[in-house]
Amino acid sequence: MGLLQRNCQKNYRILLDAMSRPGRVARLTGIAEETPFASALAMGRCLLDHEVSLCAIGNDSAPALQSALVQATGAATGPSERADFLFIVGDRGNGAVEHAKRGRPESPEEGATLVYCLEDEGTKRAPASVSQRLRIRLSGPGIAGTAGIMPEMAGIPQTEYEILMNVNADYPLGVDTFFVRPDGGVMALPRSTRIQVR
Amino acid sequence: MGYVAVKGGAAAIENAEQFSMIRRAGGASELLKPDQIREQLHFAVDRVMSEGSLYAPELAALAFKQSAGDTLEAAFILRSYRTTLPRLGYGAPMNTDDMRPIRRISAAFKDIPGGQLLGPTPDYTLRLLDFDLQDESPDHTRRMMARLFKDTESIDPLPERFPKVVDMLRREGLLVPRPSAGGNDDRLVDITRQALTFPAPRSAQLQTLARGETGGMLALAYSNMRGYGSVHPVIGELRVGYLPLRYPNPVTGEVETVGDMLVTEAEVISRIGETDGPARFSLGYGLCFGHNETKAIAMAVLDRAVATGEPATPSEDQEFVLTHVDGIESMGFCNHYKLPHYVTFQSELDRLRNIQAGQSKREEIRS
Amino acid sequence: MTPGLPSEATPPVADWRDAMPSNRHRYSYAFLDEGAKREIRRKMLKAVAIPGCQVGFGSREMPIARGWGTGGLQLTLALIGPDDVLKVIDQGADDSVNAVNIKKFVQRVTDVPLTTDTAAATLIQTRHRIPESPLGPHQLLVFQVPIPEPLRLVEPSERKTRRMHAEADYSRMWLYLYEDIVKFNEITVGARYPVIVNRRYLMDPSPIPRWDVPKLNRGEALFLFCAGREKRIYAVPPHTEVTPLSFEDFAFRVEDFHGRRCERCGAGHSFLDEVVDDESGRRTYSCSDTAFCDQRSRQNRQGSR
Repeated sequence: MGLLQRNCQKNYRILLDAMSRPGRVARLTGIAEETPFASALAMGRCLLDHEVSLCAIGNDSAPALQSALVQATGAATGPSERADFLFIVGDRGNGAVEHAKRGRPESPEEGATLVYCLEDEGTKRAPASVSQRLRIRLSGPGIAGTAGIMPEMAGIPQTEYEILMNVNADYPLGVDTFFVRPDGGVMALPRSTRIQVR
Repeated sequence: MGYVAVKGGAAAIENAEQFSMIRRAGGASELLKPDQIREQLHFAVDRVMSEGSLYAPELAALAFKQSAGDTLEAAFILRSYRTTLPRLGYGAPMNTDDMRPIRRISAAFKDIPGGQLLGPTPDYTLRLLDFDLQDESPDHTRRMMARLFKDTESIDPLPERFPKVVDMLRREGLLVPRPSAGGNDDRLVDITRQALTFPAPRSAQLQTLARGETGGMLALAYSNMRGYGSVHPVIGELRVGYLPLRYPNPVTGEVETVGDMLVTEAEVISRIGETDGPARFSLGYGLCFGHNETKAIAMAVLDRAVATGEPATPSEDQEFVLTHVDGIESMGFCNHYKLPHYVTFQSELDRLRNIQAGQSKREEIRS
Repeated sequence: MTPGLPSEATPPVADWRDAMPSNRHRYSYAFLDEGAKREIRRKMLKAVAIPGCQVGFGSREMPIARGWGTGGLQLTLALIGPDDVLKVIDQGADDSVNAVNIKKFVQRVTDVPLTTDTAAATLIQTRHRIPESPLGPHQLLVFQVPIPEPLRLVEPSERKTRRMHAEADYSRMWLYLYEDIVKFNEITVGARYPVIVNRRYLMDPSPIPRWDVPKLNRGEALFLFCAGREKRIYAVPPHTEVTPLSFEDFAFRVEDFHGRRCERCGAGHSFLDEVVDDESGRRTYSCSDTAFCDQRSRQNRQGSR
């Protein structure tokens, strides 16, 4: 098994673990932090190919990420409201998340997968954001107990939680979200996770 | 212990596999060579390719040898080999007008442009057991070939292309217009990449039927022709021949012919279509790998049958037909009942005993 | 041992395929091509994100027959890597024909270490049972599923059952159970008992006995289900509510082994296989989970020493 194949397999297990334990941070392997978008590319290699479509939005470097992903995976590109995978560079969806695919009642799984590529390491801002994170409560499948937990990853604006809450209000329709950091840290928020903002 | 047979471990399994090989190849006769199978048992090879959904005569012959003549099993081996092959790209769409036929007939007209071409077929041969074949000599075959080809020089060569019979009807406006390849909703799906959803687009329908099991499809189509359905087929045209396979050159991008493959195509005309507008004939379409006329006709009948708006019989119900024609699936499921089910059975036993205990208790109370 | 079969002491028979060099290295790591793995991986993530929802996928043909665990096998092959330790069970047993066959194949295409020890496994593929000893958070349990649609019992058409799931309309299933009670004064469903996942989807837990159903509720491990022939993947994440359908006055009940023990290890609380002795007609019982039974037998021996 080649190194690339090996990393994809390992990283997939990490993504699967993240999706099974919403709000917890897992860490992708084989991430060279000096390479821009290394985490997003690792996820792309693991999940994308010519059978799916992607769209990158966000700040000025979104087009660069999009072409890097297309080159690495052969995925098709499409408008954000039709893309299977929506990569968001930075921490703001800027209106695209609300219009992402949510699936059909017969096939809710057709809802998009969102990947927020957070640019600065959340931990650096940790002291300021703990109080903010304290206001977010996550509960549902994959989260032990009924009291819920606080998201482990810092640096995600409260407004994005609120947007995801609304987008996923018609469960099982909705989107499933990953947040990745340049260091390979990854946290998932599937549509089944109940988000409460206090 | 009663379960040694099913909990017998690796050694017993390995032995079972080898016993089966010995049963095939352990006899006194000469061992079959795959090229003998490919040439002399070509109908079996074609059937295996078609149901195995992989055009590879050499590999199909090998699979047929390996399975000791079980076509279901051979198609299954070929299909699972197919799984391991990467998809390198997509060939150019083929137009079956370009077929180089070895056989071509129409039942709808006495004579057709280009002529009826009977080609190689046992259709008109008396099915008498031919004892001469017990000792078939190569000399005999050679003499027969010499006789058959003696006069060919004086015969005009066959045209490169034959006009389609159904095109004549279409030009006259007698046929329901050809729907786009994606069917009504224009989706071109790939059934090897996504699970079927219903109603399935026509592309998915034709793909599923093209890899369906001949016997299963025949049974369903036959039920329709016999009366559990309303298709009264007339064979507009049946062709067996070679289709050029065209593929874009990865360097120049130009589409080139990279080989050809033998296929059977059936176009079945059925009675007046039920769509609005002027009365017209409707068409059922069948195409499969290799020379397999029964399958192509059955496919065309089923393609037409499931186009009926409100299904009244099993063969008219698209979901019923498409979920039951695959030989690899149906054979696998049928045979999986040989696996141990004693945990499930224990669970059922528990229920049944419980119900019986409850019943006798109630009867006691009553008496 | 049955007469005619070689005993364990016979040296292992050389695999006849070893003599055919063309067969070696003909297949890629974990058999499936990377494109197939990626598709299955994408669909598994969606299945986890919508617990209990059946996600369609382009099921590939495997070298084992449809209906013999091709679904579970595809998940296993899409998941597995060199760090894994694999366990495969059928009816709870590690040495049942189907389990042995699947193990042999997976090892052939991956070289992963195999185990029968439930606790040592990172990845467990199973047919019809959940191991008796509780699974941990880093274990994956992959179920082989013959019929993924619990509503198939009441509705043969996929198109209609899809609609029923979309509308969360499970009234016909409830009616079926109710009629059962009216007729038999009991719910007659043995194995494959329908459950509701995360208060939304009706799910077929595969033909596990009712005994195993409570283990699905708020477990530590991730449960993954796959039907190869029917081309469906679904999942129950850890810490997810899974409740069997039941009525207030007709509660869900597991199989009754009251007063029975495993002949071999003495376990009084495990799912038992009933074995009929041909000689006397006497019935004996032994654990269906052979690894669990072996471990207990070993402990018993050590204790008595």
